[in-house]
Amino acid sequence: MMLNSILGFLKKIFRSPSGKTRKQMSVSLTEAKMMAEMIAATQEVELTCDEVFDLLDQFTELAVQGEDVAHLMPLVHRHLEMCPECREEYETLRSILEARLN
Amino acid sequence: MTEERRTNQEWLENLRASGEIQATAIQDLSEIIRKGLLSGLSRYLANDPARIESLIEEVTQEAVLRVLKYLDTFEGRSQFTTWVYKVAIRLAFSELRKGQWKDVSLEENLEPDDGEIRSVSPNELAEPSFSPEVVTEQREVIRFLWRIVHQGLTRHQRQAFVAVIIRGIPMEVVAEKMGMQRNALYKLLHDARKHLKQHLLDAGYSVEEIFSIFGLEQK
Repeated sequence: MMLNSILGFLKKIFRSPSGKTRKQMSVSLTEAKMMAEMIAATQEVELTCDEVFDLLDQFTELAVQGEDVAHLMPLVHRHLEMCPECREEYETLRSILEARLN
Repeated sequence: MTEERRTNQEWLENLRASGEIQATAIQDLSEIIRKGLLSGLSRYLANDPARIESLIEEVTQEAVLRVLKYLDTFEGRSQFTTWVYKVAIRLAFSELRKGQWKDVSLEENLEPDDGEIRSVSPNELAEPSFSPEVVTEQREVIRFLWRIVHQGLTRHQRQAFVAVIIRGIPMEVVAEKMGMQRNALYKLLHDARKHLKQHLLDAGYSVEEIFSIFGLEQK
């Protein structure tokens, strides 16, 4: 009886806050690199996805025209480097515009 | 009237008109969207011609409705058709991403464990490009960051950070799961990244050092 109480007490104090068994999480080197890159490249001021979306047509046309978009629209350029979704959309828009030129 | 012969102004006028003029403009616009999506999305759906056909049809209809609804927001900073493609592409990728992740449980990725991070994967540690000293440094940085992820971020920030930045789940999918918009999720992650970066700098690491430790190219 006493032993059960002690075991119960020990289980209670060593249980994770959620009540679930603690698991360890491993991160692959690729994931770690991604995390380090995203953190190190973080800027104090960044455009959000919606702000980039508003400018994406203009940015893409300039890029297709061969303009230096990294210089002309640096905040959009930087966001596209940080955000895979917006980059995917930009690359698709660019491929459509380029296909129409050919 | 074909796409090439319409100026931005003509597109706006035709789409705002009524009757046959508007109907023709909508028909032409739908065709432009269909062709554009077919060209832009073919590499993503090359193995699934049936899916590409239905997706394009669905997105084209939705894109036309959205374009008509938001016509007044077009500011003329690009060709009208480029603006339309942008709208259609976002709709298409939204569908694609949700479809790709629909059978994947996000629960694990949204609930990071409370424990200490174990290490970088043993197999990848064998990568010959990193010396044992660098691997040790990598482990230290990862452990340090992981501690801040758990102790310094809010629960929401932590969930989002693990799912999007570590696990690579599209923001759109995670945002939906967390009941927020993609834009709000980006802001949440930006705050989390700023917080983590500040901790790294406070601990004496420089940005250059982090790039060097992980063999990354600074852009």
